[in-house]
Amino acid sequence: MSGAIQKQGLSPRVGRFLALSPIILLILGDALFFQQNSDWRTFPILIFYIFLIIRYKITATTTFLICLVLFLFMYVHYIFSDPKVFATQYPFAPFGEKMAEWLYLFLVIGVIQKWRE
Amino acid sequence: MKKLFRFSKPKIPVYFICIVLFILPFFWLRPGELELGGDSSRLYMYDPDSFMQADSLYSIQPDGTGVLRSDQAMLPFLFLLKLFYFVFHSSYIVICLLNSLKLVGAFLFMYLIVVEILKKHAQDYKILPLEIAGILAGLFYTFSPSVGESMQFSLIVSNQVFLNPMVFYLLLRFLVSQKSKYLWFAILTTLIFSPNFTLVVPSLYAFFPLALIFLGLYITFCLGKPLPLRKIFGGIILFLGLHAFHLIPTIMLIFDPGNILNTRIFDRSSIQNVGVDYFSSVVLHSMVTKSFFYSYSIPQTQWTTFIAPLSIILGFLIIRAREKTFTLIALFFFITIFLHSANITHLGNDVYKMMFYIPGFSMFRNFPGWFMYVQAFFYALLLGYAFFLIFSKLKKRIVYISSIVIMGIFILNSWKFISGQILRQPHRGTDNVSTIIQMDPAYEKILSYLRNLPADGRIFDFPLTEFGYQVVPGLNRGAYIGPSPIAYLTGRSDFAGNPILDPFSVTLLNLIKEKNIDGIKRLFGLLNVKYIFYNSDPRAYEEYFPQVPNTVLLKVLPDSASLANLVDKIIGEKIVNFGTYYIYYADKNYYLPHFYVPTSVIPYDGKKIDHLGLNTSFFVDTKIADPRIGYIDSQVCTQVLSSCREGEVILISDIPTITYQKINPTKYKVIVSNANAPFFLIFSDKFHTSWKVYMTNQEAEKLKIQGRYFDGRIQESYHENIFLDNKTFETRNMKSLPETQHFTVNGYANAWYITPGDSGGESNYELIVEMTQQRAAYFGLGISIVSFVIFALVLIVRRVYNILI
Repeated sequence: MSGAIQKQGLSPRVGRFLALSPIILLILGDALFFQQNSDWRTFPILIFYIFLIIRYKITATTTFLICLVLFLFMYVHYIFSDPKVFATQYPFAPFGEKMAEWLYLFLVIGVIQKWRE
Repeated sequence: MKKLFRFSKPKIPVYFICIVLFILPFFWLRPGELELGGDSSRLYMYDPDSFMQADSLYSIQPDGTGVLRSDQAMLPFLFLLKLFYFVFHSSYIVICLLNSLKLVGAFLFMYLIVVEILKKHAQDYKILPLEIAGILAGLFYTFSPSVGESMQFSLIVSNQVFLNPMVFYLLLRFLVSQKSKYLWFAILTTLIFSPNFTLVVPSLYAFFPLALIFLGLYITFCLGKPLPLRKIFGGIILFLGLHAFHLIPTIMLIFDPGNILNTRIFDRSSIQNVGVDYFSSVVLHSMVTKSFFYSYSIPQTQWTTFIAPLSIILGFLIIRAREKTFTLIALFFFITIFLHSANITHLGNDVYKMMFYIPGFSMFRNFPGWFMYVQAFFYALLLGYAFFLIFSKLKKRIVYISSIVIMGIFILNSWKFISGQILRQPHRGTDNVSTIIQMDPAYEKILSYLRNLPADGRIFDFPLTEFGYQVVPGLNRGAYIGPSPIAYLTGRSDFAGNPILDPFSVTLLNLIKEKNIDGIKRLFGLLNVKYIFYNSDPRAYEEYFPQVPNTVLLKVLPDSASLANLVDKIIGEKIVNFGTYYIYYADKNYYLPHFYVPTSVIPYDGKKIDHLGLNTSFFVDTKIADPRIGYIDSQVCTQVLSSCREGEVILISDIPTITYQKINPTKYKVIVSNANAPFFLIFSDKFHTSWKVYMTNQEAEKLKIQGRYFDGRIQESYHENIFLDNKTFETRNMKSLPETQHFTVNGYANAWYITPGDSGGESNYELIVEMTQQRAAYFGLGISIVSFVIFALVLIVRRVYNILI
């Protein structure tokens, strides 16, 4: 993929953006199209992101920027929902809750990255 | 102490906030109003002295049939409350003061912790962001739902809202400065607030293991300092010594087979039922969102929750790589979110479930309730650090403006708490019946009257509630719902709720349903019920509480009139009434004193038949006129009697005369006269193998008699309540009756089969019936007093030495 990007003459920054876009889309897809969380989706997405970190040398700052995006989704859903929506996960978890879980996981990855940098 | 509170210069806002927080709780209640109810109640605020006498000195639960348990940890805290009460003479002021202490302590110590941790990063020009970060972190913690929502129906362990940061700060100062005085002060604090440091409170295990690991890592990993291991070891010894008065009785209970603590910790089926299954239902309502967004569930203020998570993400963006302290706090922040939400992936959830099989972990079945305090603590710590990082990059003016805006947003978010609305939320399922009451003087008179009743027979309360609560309507539109004030403030054992009637909870309801008045009276006799307490006020029943906590009784008696009708049929002579509160005798023809010798024994089938696995089949309407019956499991019966067929009535004609006297709830004296043949001695307290009978081999004492039953064959002496005197340990060298002669009778009570051989052929002798687990309480108390004296002496000697040298 990297080779293809370079052949097309894209800068590393744009390359990183193109690589990260699917992550955001995958997370949004997971939160919007599935009623229940599943580790069979969560861990592959995380592993894919870790692969991208290694492959494209994505910094912790980028991860925290993704966290900021996740936070915005979570916050917007939270403030426009009735508090009762966040009272129970039954029968399914609200969108904001799924975003909160992703935010947590990306914060953890970001802190580990920051420590290793 | 001066040094303890010596921190950087701009202290005025901190003092100002402390004063405001101190005053605030005095506006939540109006003078004369009380907020006492809830699961554990705060009756100790209402009358600490009576509460101590009834509840905390002895290892016997004051209500019901006298279950063995330990509540000695309350003692130092009750002494503190007694001091407050002595000074102010007002429960209202004592309640407000404790709330003030919680708020000021939570804010001040969180502020101090943040300042202490950040000050190594703060050169002189960063003092302002440092102070403001500390203040904002302190306010964030103090106004968090962890602190606010625990104010209503507050458990005693809710004191952790200020104790956690306080003890943490003192230990932090101790480890940073290596000065022992901080450690001593921390340990003394834990002593005063012992209920928060018992072996069985989840809050202790939720916070302190994480806090201590954090401190150890912070000192060694972040500051690069060694840990003062010798001083720490000394501190642990002192802690164990000072806390022995509650640790030892609790350890005894933990290793007591059949005790609820033992079952919860070691029994695998209990871990599954009470632990894992409970966890699985709670986890549906726990959310990671709640760990990020702190709100009081008010739609209009939900937007204010963004400050903390946004600031933390910005802090992560600003922080330089490998910042040890920030990373360490972040790590603990993540751990506590995991523990608080239990919803981080299904794998995380499964790991959490597995942890329940660690002995004792099932105490965290209500994990959001226990870990919310810890999560709030590390959240505030991380937020303080994030604020510091952000403010360090901003100009002074912007720092001032933004900090005022943030403070305003915090206040707006927590207005429900700050304004005291949290305390004024009505009882659930009621039409705006407040949890805050103005105590009815008529009820106070009843309590006073009951306290002075001479006989030790039990009281049965109407209306009977579920959960073991009593309902006490106030003068206002409010009511107390919680553990029975009759038991916990007068020391009179009572049955206020259905579960306390175990193993007769279902039986009684069936008898009421069947309108079997004779059966009810007979059951009251077996339970040693001498008095009936009846509140005829409809507000205590269907008027205020059409559902909880009267649900069970309302199914069989749907209104006050039908309740009054039932009470009318089962009561005996009226003793007294104040307002709507009445005390009657139960029917004297059925009353069985606390100790009695049965004239007939009825063996019953020992099959387990009810939902609790306990046998209720023996409860049959035998129609035998003399209620002195002992219902004994037929298998146990064969050990002592030759013929024990189920349902057979075995008559015992040659029975002795007994006279009994209560020394305290764990010790009784029984004088036996004319015992010429073997007999059963029945003691109507919950069966436990630690109830022992001792032959004193002394000449029987002449006791003054206040009550005679069954033509004087059972006599009741004037009772005492002696906690400690020269006779407290008199049974130490005495031999108790063998356990083979001790068994369960009437489904719950103690019975001993006593033969002339046990008394060496004597027909007149003296027995002492004693709960031997109480000895652990005395032993622990002795160790604690000795430890305290040694500790005080060491402090004095060191002080004198420092002055002289």
